[in-house]
Amino acid sequence: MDYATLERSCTADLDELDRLLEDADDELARLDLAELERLASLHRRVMGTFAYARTHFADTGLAERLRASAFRSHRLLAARPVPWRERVATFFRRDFLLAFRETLPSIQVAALVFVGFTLVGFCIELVHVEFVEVWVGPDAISGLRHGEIWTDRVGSMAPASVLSSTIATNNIGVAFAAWAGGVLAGIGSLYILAFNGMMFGGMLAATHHYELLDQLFAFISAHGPLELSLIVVAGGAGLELAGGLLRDEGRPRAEALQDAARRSVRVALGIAPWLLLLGFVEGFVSPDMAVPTVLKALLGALLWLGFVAYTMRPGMEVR
Amino acid sequence: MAADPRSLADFRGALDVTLDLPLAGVGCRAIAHLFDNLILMVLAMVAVAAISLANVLVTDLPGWVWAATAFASFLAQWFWFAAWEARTGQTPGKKLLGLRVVSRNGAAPDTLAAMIRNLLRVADFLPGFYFAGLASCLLSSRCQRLGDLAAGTVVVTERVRTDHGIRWPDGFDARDVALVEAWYAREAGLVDDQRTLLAARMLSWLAQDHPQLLTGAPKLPEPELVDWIFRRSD
Repeated sequence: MDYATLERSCTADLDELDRLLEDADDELARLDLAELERLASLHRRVMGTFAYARTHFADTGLAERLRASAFRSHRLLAARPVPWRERVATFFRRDFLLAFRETLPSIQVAALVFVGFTLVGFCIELVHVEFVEVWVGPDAISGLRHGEIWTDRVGSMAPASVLSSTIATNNIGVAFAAWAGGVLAGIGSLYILAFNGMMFGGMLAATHHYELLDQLFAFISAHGPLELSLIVVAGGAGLELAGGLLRDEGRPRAEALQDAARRSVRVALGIAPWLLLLGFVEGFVSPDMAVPTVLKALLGALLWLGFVAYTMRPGMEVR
Repeated sequence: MAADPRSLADFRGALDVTLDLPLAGVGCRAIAHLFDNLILMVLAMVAVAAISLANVLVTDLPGWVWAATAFASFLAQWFWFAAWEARTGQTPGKKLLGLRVVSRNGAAPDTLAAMIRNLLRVADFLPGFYFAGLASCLLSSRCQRLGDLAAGTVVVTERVRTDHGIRWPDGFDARDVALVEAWYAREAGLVDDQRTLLAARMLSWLAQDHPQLLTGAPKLPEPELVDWIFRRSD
């Protein structure tokens, strides 16, 4: 068959397929059953013609046009569209919880790293009192010397709504970075866990040194327990991602990495709404001196228990 | 000339036929990314201008407006690319450049894969200017940055060569087609002397291999005569 004959034989199919693809506009749901059947039938015909064109007229305009149309129809037919409401509901009802359970061993390692570096930060601060200045700045240290803790000024820095939004987005960003750092063989995740652990330990020791620990506790008791736990969870998700890259699982490394990425990103995404909620708590409740510390601590405990009850609920055990 | 297999992404389609698509290079991906960032920058500037104007008109703008702006900026920073790619595999920048993100089966990436490849931009960017991503792209066989490797995606180019409106005569084989397509792809960029010289060679080849095409040909300069043969409307 010569080129002109081949072109004449497939032009009608190509034109009709392109018209259907335009009508679908990347959404299969826009086509009715008859159109869909026609699309599938044309796709098969075009694929067959493409196989012939690639063999006898490789790298020609017609082979390229056939490939482009075949690819567009293949892409449309291979997609598995799921309504977003259903996707979100399934994610929070099942996918996130299963992924969390599967990631639990890595989260436990992350918790050990965090606690270890908290102790390191605490000990360094006890020896070098200026150590915590790295994180809170010289003004905060000067304030501590005069019996004022920097957290007292948080409420006056910006309106509570702005504060909430800024804190929540910053924390979600840190959680995403802690997860993403896992792809660098876990170094990024370990760095974020170590950094936050040392900072927390240093702050505990500094406020203990200047006898302001109760004021620090008054500020962090509502949001702190769950917020720190979620940073550990994000770091654990990062270590899970690193595991996919580093562990020898007797299968292609790319496949193991992709599985680990799908499992661990669910954890990183699933904690984002909790961090959003904690942003509100840290912006509206934590800086409010009128709220008694006992109530803040109670809220902190309830939030933490709520998260644990949600993630560890029965029926989601890893088989 | 056959394409380097390392520059192709292949998927199994209907009838088990392999669909091999050219992989997008680092350069055009970078341009698409810059274009998307330009859009984000313009959107941010419009938002800032609107809020600043509102702040002048309404002296005490409520705090939630600023809070919502900060949150919207966060969403744009982390989810702009994923939201577009999960739907069609194309951001506006990729669409402009004719690029598309596809998963292993050739379909658009699902939401999770789109999130993975885009949340990992933060690692690809390290230690600066997408160095890790660039190194990964250059070292991997399918030009995949770290985000692509973890998501199982590749970026392909969908650009189809321009249709020059050629009316193909009967009896042309692959070599004949390649010659004519190469002529039309290049002739506009040639200076007059080169264009005439190459057209004369084309005519000499046609006279030898397809003499029937020159039957009844009018007296025209060589390039116009080639055009008369391949674009005549009768």
